Amino acid sequence: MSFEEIYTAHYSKIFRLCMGYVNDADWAKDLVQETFINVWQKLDQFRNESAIGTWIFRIASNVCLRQLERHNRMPRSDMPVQLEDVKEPDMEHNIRLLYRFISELEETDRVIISLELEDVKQTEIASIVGFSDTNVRVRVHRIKEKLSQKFKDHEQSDRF
Amino acid sequence: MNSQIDFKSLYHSQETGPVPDVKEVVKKAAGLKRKMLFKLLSVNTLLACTVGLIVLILAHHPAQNMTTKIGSVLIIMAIVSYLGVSNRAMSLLFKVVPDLNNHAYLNLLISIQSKQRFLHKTMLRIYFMLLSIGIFLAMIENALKMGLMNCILIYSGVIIWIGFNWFVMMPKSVKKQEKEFDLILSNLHRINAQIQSA
Repeated sequence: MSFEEIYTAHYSKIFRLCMGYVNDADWAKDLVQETFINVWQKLDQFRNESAIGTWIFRIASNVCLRQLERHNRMPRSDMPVQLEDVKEPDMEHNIRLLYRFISELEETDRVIISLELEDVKQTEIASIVGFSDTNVRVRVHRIKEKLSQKFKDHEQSDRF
Repeated sequence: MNSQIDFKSLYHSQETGPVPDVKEVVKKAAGLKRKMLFKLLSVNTLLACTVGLIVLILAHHPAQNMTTKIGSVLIIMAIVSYLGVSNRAMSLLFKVVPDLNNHAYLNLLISIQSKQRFLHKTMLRIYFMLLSIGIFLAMIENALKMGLMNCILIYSGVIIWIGFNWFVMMPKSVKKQEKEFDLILSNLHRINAQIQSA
């Protein structure tokens, strides 16, 4: 599989993961680019020990998790610049809320729930994060409860 | 409404817009690599030239006093040790492949950052110490030839410069870096604790 094929096949998934992490379309695009720059640089070192998708998710989630660390080293102006100015699509209310609520979770919870919602198997999520399968199952359940509660709270605050 | 929320379908409804041109990613990746290499080469070349210059001067105008020779060696040692440590720190950071699992990756970052913090603090002191003593010693021979008044004048300047670096510049630089390292490390530890607490 060439880099171009990998990029096209995984761009949207990685964008959603990054978007869930930062809830900022421009920042998420920067993170996606940073992820694929890493993929491009390390593709020859990829040793089929895991599926390419899992490998890219691992890189993307690490890129997300080290955001604060990176921001201190690399000013945003130094980050890859998007030549094509893609306008942020207009999101519906609930989608916006979901991404906002995800970005309000603890850092690792953001990664876990995004991968779960992306239909990544829980065994793979465990191998990406460094958990046991059972931990992932329990954590996913708790995160979903937290998200439901956030929706409920929001709905109630809207009524009053 | 709450019980019927289909998170999965909402999550996938997020539009991602058209996929940006892959050529731009490749171009940027190659550019970053070149930029990093250039930065590394320019610092190394500059300091290697300084060492070369000192050696050249010593070769053409052999020093009479032992102090000059020892001073020059200390200055060269300061530059070489700085180069060695900064090159190592840079390679540590950029050789990290972010394809480990999150837990292992965060642990690796924590260990690299702790190492860099120690190297920075210790090496900065060693660098300033070697450089200051080196300059102090290397200048004795020439200063003595200039007469007592000039000698006092020159050494007053050198001592003020060394004192300013040692008591003002270095603590300031160490404090700033420590603050950055502390912030980075506390965040990395905090995120890692989220995984460990599971």
